[in-house]
Amino acid sequence: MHGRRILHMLKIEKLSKTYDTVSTPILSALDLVVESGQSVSIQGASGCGKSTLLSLIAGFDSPTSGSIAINDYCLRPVKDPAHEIDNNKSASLQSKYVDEFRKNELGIVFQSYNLFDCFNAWDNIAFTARLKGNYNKHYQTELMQQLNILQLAKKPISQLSGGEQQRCAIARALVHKPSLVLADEPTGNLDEATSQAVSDILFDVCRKMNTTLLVVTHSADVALKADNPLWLHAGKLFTDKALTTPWSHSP
Amino acid sequence: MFAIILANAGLITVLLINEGASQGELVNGQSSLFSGSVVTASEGYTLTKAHYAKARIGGATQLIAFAQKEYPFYCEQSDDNINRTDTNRADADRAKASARSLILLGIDTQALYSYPFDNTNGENGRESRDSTKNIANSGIGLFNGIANQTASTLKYEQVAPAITAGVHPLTMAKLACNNVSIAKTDIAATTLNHATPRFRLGTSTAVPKDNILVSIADFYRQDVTTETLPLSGFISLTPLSKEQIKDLKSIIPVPINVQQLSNSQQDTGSLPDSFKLNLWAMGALMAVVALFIVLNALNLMYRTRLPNIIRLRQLGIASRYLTIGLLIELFLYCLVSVPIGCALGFYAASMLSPIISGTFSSLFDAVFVTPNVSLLSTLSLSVCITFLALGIFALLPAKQLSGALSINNVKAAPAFTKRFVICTTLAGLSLLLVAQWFVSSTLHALLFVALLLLVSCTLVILWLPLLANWVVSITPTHKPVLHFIIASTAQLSSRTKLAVCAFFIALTANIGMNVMTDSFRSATESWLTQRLYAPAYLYTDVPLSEIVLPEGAVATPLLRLQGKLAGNKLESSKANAFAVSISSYPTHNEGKLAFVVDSEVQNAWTKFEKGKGVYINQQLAFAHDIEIGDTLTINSIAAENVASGNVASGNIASGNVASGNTYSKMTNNHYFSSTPSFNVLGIYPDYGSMRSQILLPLSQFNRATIGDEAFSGVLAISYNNKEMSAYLSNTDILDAQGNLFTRDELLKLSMDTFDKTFILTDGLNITTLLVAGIAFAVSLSILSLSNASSLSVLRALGVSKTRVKLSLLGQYIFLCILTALLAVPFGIYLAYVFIFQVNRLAFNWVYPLSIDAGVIITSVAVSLGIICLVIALPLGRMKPKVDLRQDTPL
Repeated sequence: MHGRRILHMLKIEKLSKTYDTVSTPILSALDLVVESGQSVSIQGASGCGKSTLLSLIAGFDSPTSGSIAINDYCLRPVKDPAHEIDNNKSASLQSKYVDEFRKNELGIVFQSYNLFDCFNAWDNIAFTARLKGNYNKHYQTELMQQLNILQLAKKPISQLSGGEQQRCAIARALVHKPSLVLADEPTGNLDEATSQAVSDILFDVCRKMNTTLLVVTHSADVALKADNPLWLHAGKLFTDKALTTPWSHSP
Repeated sequence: MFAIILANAGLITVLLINEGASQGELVNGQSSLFSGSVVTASEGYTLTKAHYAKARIGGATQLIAFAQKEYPFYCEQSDDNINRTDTNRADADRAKASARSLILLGIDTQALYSYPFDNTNGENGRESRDSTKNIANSGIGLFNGIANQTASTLKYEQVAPAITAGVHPLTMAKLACNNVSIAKTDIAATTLNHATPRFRLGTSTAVPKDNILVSIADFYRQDVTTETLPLSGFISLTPLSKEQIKDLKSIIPVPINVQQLSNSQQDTGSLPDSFKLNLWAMGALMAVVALFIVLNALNLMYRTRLPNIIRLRQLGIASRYLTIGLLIELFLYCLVSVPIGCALGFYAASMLSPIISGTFSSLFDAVFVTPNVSLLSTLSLSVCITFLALGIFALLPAKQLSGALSINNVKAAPAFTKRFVICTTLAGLSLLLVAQWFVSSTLHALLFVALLLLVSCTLVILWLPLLANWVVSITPTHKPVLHFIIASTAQLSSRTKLAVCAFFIALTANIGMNVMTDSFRSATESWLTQRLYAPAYLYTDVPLSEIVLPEGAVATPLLRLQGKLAGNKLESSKANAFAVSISSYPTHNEGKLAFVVDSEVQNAWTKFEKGKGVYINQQLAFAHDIEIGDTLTINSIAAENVASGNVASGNIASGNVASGNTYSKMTNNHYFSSTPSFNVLGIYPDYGSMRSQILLPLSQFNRATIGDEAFSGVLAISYNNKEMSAYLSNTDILDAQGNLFTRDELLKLSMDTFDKTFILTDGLNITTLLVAGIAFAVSLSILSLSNASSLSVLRALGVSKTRVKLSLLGQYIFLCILTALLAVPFGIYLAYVFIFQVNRLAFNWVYPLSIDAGVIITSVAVSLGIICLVIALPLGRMKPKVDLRQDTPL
């Protein structure tokens, strides 16, 4: 696995997020630490903030307070009184910083796949590696073989089934060797059997590649495949479904 | 809605300009006060007020007294600036210096008011009566209208009150002002010793050109009396009968002459056919572009609505309800958009009117009037036509979409194989080549242009995705964003066919027109450069025999006769195409070197010199299908008295009646020193002229007998001693006899005139391109909305916001470049068709097609500039959002 950066730790501290339209915070002083190569699943009721948490980790949105640290990158609120140096960065620099972070450290698997329909499967998968500048044909072939989609390489996206498309999306999220893979309802659009197959592949490949995985899902079956299944409720993470044990860092 | 507004505005503007030109031409062709009879006193006698009174009392109530005198007039500043500063005074002095010589024409307006229309004579009594009423009403209306205006402004005036006066619209356009004064020159001072009269002008076609019409009371003011300047004569709006003339001669105690004036040969200065054709072609082009814009807008609208329509269908709403709903919506769009579009069109036309009017009067001696159209009928017509067109074009997509129950049914677009595209291309091009053979009239040529555009559009629709896919295949994949841009453009190209077509047509037409104009310009310039052999040219009204030349100067006159062509080949020709001009051409060495010829027989020049044949221009050859070696039969040869007879107004007092060209009917021996042989030796280009022309050697004209009669007013001046040519421009002797132009001046003047001719069509062409460009840009912007999810994914994968915007701009520009690449060959082909089909059949001339890369690049660059400008604005505001929950794009 040449040229790979290993995630030392995903560290989320006192993360809060309040939307302008809602008075109560959707995430409230949330803490989470994920060790390198671990997989974490997050379940919870609709609207509890699962996707918001992923959006904040991916840098799509800015937290109201708290911080998210991934390798050398640290995402904070746009105006954080505690970090004047960051505040002095212009908006475009901050935006560039987050773009760089996404390009170099992150792989994302969307619920609705979001593959480019102007590309075939191969070019779709290769996109992130080419963008990062670590495209390796041999590595991509190997990855596609593991995902059992090599035979689809030249096919246009519109001719692939949902399961095939999601496997392509997983390959795209992994091909540039990110430190962290975020998956938002990766099996949400798939039937039961395909869902099992796709989630098995996702967890297996991440384990083999020692890639940290954070999955948001409604499916208990998928969630239980993770090393650390967690539940989100009232803006905080719990380690049990009964929501009695809040998550705490135990090194 | 924007598309409907844009299409209506563009179409209405072009239609109004066409209407203005047509109405102007009608106005220009209307009869003037001098279209019946003119009664003047015989030489040595004068007509007085007493004679006038006697004639009217004696029953000749149709007579209107008139007097005329030539004065230098200059434009005055408006009344608002009446208290002049020094600067204004300087401007006024400059204006006086550029005074224009016009005839002040005074008529008895009371007699005009009470004109006895029922006494109108003539074979076509009713028509003649109506025509006469029009002339009189026009004159009366003029005075009433201006009198009211004058009354409202007189009270503010501190100097001499303005006199109500009328001029021909063409004269008004030349003057370019509403107030004129008489310049106090030596001529004027003899008759006007007091305050300089000021004239407030109104327009009427009843007034002869280059005349300022006032009431006779205003004419005889201050020192000008019937004693110092007697009446010029009496006019009758309708021709006087023999009995009436006999009665008149018995009533008036002095000998009189009665001249019957004909309106049929007035110098009406009609708009050239070429310009009209240009306007109509532009109108048709705008209509086609508007059609594609609206079609594209409909397509985009339905595409945006598709998810909701499918949901409605899935919920059980019948497709006919959806279709009716969509049509009602279209009608509402029409009701709102058409008036806005029409208003914009009217506004644009009114803004353009002064420019067009100036162009018309300066170039074509024609009038452009602000079109008088019924607002209500135009509006109703626009709503009906737009709704009908929209309804027809919307029916198919509406039916297809309202029947769709899933996206897949609608998304499925036919994919054309390479073989199919190549076969269709070959078939299309073959169709064009075959159709080209059958083009035999102007209408056919225009239909062929339409076919060419249709075929080229089809080929664009087929080739654009193929071309885009080919570019995708050669794009380096290690540049992922660039690869994405090109690939998604290829995908976009199949969804933007209609917008691409509108843009493609506009760009093709633009390239075609520009290449044609440039070719025409190059041909004209090189032709003129060679043809103008003398160092200077004198344009004069002085008869040839009276021209005084400076010492050492050699003059070569241009003599011109008129004739009528006869022969079997002419049977199918129109009657008015028979007239030919027989012009002289010098056979000296300079003349020989300057002669430009398309094709000729062997030793043609030698035969021409010896009078064994003639050269004919392309206009004559093409119009009558005459070939080299044919012998022409020319009948009714007559002199065209250009030099002395064409003062448009007709200064009756001096005997030059405004009856236009008069032909003396004499034998050929009178005109030629030897009987000419009309054997065609060669065909020469003669750009810019609509006349059929035959060239005979100058030596063959009988200058002794017809020198003055046939003199066209143009004299080529050269010197035996070449060193003396340098002093030519200082030759006062020549300057005093007319306008002397050096060769370079004449060339510059001609090319300036040429450039001005195309200003308007260039403007319309750019407008069409702009409209198509805007529509293209708008549809691309709308389509980019459907592509928004892809852009968000790009952002999610770490592509910066700036890069996404640039990629989007690059995508549009790439599509434009692809369209431009396809438009270039078709644009050149269109230019070829314009030159060798449309020009050949409509104007009977052709010229070499010259392809200048600069012209083509400029056309493409202008179109790209328009697109960039239009797209840059929404792109600047665009903020591609990043969201985990993206919808699948349609």
